[in-house]
Amino acid sequence: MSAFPLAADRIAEIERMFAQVPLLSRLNARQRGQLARRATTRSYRPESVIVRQGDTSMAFYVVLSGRVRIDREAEGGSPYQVWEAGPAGFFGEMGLIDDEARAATVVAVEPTECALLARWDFQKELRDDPDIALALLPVLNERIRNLNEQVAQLAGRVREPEAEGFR
Amino acid sequence: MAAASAVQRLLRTWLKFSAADKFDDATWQPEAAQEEKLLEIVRRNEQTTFGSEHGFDKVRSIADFRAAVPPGSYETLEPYIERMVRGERGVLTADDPLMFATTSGTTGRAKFIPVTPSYLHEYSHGVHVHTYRMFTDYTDILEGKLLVSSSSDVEGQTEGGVPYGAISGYLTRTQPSAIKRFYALPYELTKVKDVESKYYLTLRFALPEDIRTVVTPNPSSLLLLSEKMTVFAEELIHDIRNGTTMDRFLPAGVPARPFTSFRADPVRADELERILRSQGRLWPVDVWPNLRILSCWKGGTMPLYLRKLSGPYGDVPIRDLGYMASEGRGGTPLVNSGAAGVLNISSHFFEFVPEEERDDPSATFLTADQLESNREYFVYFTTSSGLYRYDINDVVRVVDFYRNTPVIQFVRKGQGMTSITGEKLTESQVTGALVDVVDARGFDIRHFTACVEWGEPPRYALYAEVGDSMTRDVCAEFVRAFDAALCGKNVEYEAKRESQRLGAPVLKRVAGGTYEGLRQKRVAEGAPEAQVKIPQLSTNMGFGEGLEVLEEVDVGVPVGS
Repeated sequence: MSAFPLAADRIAEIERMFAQVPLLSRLNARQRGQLARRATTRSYRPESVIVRQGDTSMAFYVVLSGRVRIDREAEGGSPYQVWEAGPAGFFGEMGLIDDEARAATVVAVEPTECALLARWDFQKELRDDPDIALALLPVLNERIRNLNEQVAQLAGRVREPEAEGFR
Repeated sequence: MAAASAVQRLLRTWLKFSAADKFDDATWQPEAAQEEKLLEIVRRNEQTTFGSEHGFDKVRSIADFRAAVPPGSYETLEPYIERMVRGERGVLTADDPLMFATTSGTTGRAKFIPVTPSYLHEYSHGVHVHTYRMFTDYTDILEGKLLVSSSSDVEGQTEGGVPYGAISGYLTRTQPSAIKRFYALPYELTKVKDVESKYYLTLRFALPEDIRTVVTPNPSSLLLLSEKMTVFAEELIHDIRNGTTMDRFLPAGVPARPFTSFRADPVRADELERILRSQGRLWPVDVWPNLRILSCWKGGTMPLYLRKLSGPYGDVPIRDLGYMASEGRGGTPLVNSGAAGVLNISSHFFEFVPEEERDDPSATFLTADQLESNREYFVYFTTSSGLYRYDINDVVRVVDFYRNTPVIQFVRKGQGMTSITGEKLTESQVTGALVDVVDARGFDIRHFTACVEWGEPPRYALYAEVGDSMTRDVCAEFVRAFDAALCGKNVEYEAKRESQRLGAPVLKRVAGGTYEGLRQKRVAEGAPEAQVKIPQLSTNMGFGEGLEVLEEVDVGVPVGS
């Protein structure tokens, strides 16, 4: 049962979608294909909760079709909508590396299909092909730079959080 | 140290090939893994009485199994289990039980779960996957010691001469000696019943050691351990310095040897003394600086305690111990975040009923591959202990997926049951205890509801409308009598009360007319008047909010004292 269950055409479809994901965009086609082979897919009905803030985080999600809404609940406050994402939108990427609970709730706003990549499957690919890690570094570096700029801007006013960066 | 690391690497490799890889592979195709597991259980047991009666020999698929075996409960299996308890062979399981795991039942008697070799293998499989992941994530655990709590596996013997008790004690007792040397606590400690002695001796064994991980189901036990560390600090330091054990903590009726065979350790005693003098207390965060991880339950009613662990244990990560019971292991946590674990698809066969369909005669039974994210389900176990389509009365929620396998979190016991510390109290037990003491002692109790009240320790609040004869002293008598009656009806409630993990109940006398007001409120909310029932055991922790409490009667004593 160790064979990965997705058919070749589905793997190719996921690989093409991964190419549009900013986090994975600097990987080459072979590297994206390796990750796509380890992905699984799930479908969600409108208004169904895909992941919930505070819950165990086991996978990285990429939207293949449909649309999701990302809500975040402030401590003691009511949820507020942070962002919406369509195909190639993603969430849970920080959980690929660290071990923190989900930082936001993600809800399908229409019939939605996602590709899921488990943390250890991603890490196994990193170990097998360290060039994947090197290709991710510029993207992560850019994110840190953006966050630094946001922190500087927040000195004077409160800004709505950026879309990326939710587990 | 290098040798210990090598042992951990060796063990990790063994766990990988004996358990973790099989589990990991199965997560790609849970449907196939589950059918394989089910048919393995059915084939092994097709010649048993139950298997013959239910046509196991014709079962070739999950659908066949469902057609042959109706969903059941302990009550439906009890006649078969009673035969096993009397010593009859081949009733539910082809292999003979090594022991019976006891757990609280929905009636007055304890449940007896047959622990067969094949069931033990299934149960241990989940333990091994959990341990493999811990050893992978924390690579120097065995450079120190493991503090693992367990309970006695031999509380008595059945009519058929088979021991009964806790499965954790069996696992501790049967560990290979090469592994036992990494445990801080000896098996003999499971025999100590007195709570003060048990905690003192636990610390007597553990404080001199470099504890790297603490594993105990209930986080309230972790808090108690840290409290007792300071309470007994002076005595413990004295004993560690001199290689002694205070006589008053030596258990009666248990061989003294492991509790008195310590070497004097003045260096460690000095270290502890320095910490005590500088901090004014002993806390795990200070005495065990190499503590890598805690493992305990994090779901259900546990978060209150988890929040309090950060003081005595600092920022040591906490991993859920897993959704488990004597009846089986439902989930294995593989990460620290949240309180969920991957469904143990290579341990047992599981079915699920959507929470809202629980009382529907045509409820949909789902397999692992059919679950949806964030939905709540009742769980049904089929295991090699002879539990077939067994309703464990637990609600779980799907929080994520690992590959194609659901990641589940325990939410609560099902209807009419509460469990703060694992006591699994049912409304029928509460009602039974209430009726018993009212009949026997003539207490004038008009209306009554027990519900959970958080605290240290947690306890049950008994909201009651009472008659004029119920003076404060009589109310106190009632509380003591009710507490004792409940102990008689639920062995785990009794155990939790004796160990002080549950405090004595507190009576909260409410004004006359309070319950009528509650009924009226329910009707105003749309409930049919004839169907309004104010429960005698409320699973709603906010039950008492807004009620006017005229008097609180807090007897505040341990049961039996």
